[in-house]
Amino acid sequence: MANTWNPLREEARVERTPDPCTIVIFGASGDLAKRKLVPALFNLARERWLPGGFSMVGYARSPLSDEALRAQMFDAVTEFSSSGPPTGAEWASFAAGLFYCQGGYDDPAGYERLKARLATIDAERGTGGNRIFYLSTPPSLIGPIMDALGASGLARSAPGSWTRIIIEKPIGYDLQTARELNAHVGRIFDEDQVYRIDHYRAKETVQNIVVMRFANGIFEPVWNRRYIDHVQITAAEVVGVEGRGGYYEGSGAVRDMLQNHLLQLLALVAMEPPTSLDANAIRDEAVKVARAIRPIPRDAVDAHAVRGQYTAGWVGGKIVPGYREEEGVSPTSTTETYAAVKLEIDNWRWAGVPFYLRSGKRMTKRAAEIAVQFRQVPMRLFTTTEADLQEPNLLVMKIQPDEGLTLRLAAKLPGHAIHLRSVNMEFRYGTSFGVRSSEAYERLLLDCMFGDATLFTRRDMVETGWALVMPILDHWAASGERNLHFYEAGTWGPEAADQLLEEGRTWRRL
Amino acid sequence: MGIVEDIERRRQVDVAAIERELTELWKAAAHEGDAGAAVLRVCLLNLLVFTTDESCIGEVSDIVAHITASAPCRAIIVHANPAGNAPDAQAWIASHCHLDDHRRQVCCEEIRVSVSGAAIKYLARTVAPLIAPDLPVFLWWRDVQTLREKYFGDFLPEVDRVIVDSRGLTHRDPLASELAAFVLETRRRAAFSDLNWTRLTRWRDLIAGLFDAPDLTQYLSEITRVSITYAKDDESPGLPMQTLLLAGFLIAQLDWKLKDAYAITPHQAELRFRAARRRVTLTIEPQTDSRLPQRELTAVTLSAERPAPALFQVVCQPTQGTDLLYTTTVNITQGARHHTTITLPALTDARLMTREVEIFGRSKPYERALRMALDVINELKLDAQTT
Repeated sequence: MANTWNPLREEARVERTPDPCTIVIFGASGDLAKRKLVPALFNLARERWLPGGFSMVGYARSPLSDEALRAQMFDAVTEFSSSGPPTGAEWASFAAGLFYCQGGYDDPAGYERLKARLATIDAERGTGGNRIFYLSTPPSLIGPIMDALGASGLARSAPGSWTRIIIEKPIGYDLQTARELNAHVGRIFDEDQVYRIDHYRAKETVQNIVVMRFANGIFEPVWNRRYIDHVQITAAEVVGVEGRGGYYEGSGAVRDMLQNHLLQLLALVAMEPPTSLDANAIRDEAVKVARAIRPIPRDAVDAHAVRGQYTAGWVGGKIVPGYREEEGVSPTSTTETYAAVKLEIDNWRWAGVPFYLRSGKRMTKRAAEIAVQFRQVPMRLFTTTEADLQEPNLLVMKIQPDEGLTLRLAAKLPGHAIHLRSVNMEFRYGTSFGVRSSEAYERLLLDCMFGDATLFTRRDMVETGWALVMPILDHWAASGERNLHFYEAGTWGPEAADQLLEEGRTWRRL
Repeated sequence: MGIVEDIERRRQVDVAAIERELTELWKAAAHEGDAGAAVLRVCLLNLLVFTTDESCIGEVSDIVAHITASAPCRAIIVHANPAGNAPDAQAWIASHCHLDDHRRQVCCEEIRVSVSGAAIKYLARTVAPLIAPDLPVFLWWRDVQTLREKYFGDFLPEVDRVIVDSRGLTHRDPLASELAAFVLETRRRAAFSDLNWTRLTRWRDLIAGLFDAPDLTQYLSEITRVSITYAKDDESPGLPMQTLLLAGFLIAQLDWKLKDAYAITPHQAELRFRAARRRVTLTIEPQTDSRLPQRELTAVTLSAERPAPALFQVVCQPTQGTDLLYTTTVNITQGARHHTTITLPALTDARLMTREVEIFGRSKPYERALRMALDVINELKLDAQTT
């Protein structure tokens, strides 16, 4: 990070830009690079967030010239940039910083070529030896790439410069493999060089959870077991496996969503106030609360977790196949496309408050939210008829598709008699702030350039997440079809999930 | 986002009953919403606009409609007619609506107040009750020549930020130095902003970006020559206020001491400074180009001789459409050379105001730049008197 103050930056629209640097994308010809990474970098350049001289090197096995890479990326940016296609002049200046290096992922000669290319870029474009290695490759290649980076000396920084590595999920397949991968990374990189991406964390509303909780004095006094009845965290998708059946067969709802994204959301909702906005201060609190989640013993999994798998059904006005009929999926697959768990946190703030987490594919609609259900008032003064059934207050933080906050209150219906109705107070990002939110990858790439790891997952959080879900995964793996509940595509999941909620509580209709 | 001004619903109302009429307006909208798309009423701030020019009210209303798309607000457009004979105050209300991401109608209210004759003396008292409580208040005062009137001063306790525009003023206009002096002496009573300063934001960003890299930041203390050019296709004399604000910004932020300033021609000047261990020369000169916004910047070049000869430049060029092309260049002899080109939209008043209402409080860099610009104007006046 630049420690020399630039006096011309005072009150500028962009407070600072990162140090000049080069990002090396392994797997540059892949989908992620084309759909997300390069369009995100282009948008950052367009928004004047990138430093002068910023460069990108694509590294992959196939032979390709710089010009050919630029042509591919031009097409990608034209199609996928959320700020619109580039003009000729804009593209010419951005493309001048794009380079390609061909080499095998475990080929020392390829890494020597990469090293030489980076040195040339440093000299010609003033990138100062600052590097980010982005591993946009299948998990099986992470180990060989890291070994090669280590052996070639690219993992180490020259004096006065920095080197960082970004790793995409999944971080391991289970606790054991996650630990092995983290240990592998740790042998070559220091933990503060490692940025494990969780794009969910970079969503505007997810970041707003911390702001809402700790910048508004009204919430903290009631944010505890005395006033909160329970919390529901939902990530529902309408889509199925979308041609990625082969990948999903080795994953499932718990590995894909629950052990990382939903647990991150839980941690942000439940953590204690951090002492500062420093990356480690926030991540320390997140890990602390994750560690306070009561482990689920393997023999109690059925009482705390429900899994489901979608069958053929009706979604979006058309018939869709069941999971077992999807391409690349075994006809006897027991992979869960839906998972719901009940978690409890053993600390003073949350003792006795259940956190219900659910995630599924092919559900009724696409929605992700955190719903904080407050306790009923101690005495129901106003209940006169069944129609007046008073619903408790509810605070909903909506993550997608309609980012915002809703607070449910009770109000009196106009008239002489006292009849109550629930009314919602709503705040919607799209309505109140008519500006384009940054794409998650824009934010994450920029944060990495700045060396800000707040939105990235630390090793201990990854392993804590895996440790929590392993009894569930192990139990299900040993159960065959026994506790696999089928649900029709286009519904809210298996009815068995309702039994996780104690009497008087129901899953929210979103 | 599509913007729909609800012309049908614009109607004249009793000034004393505006709040009640607004309630009726929203009730009517809600009833219509029952039948079709729901209407959301959103308000993040108050925007007061003052003008004495009746012909620009339509333009102001259009600008307000654009602002509401990203900053939903209660807009109060005040037209004052000091020449009117009878004291009179009239009001109209209307709504501005646009569709949000989810095709819902988001609506904001616009109140127009027209005041004439002696009623102008009580302008602030007429408007103050209409301000939505507990929200920031921005006052866009479009007639800088009336800033010293008492009725402007009466607004100061009611507002958080006053926005003026020095566009069109040059160092030769007495109003330029009067405006600068007024803002500097009133700044403790209200935060001031100048749209001409906001027009410089992208230039300040781009120039700052040239020096962000740690090994380039050191060049800021080695700058010896600066050239600021502006677009001009007529013979009218005077240095545009925008060039003086940028010069003032560089002087203040880089801690240069003004030694002297003189006009080379009626629209070209050279300023000389003392800085640590060196002297700095800054020239302001016109560039004939009718395709670029007139009297606005076209290029800024900063040069240094040490530690190696270096040139830092931002250039603005026209495009086929209304957008502008900005190219930044860093050229260090035997060192880094790179350039970046970005396309940015032309700066309309609507765009500038949208940016303005995001900012709160006083801007120290603006105040310092204004102080330095005033010093330069005074020095140029002195030079004109002695030659």
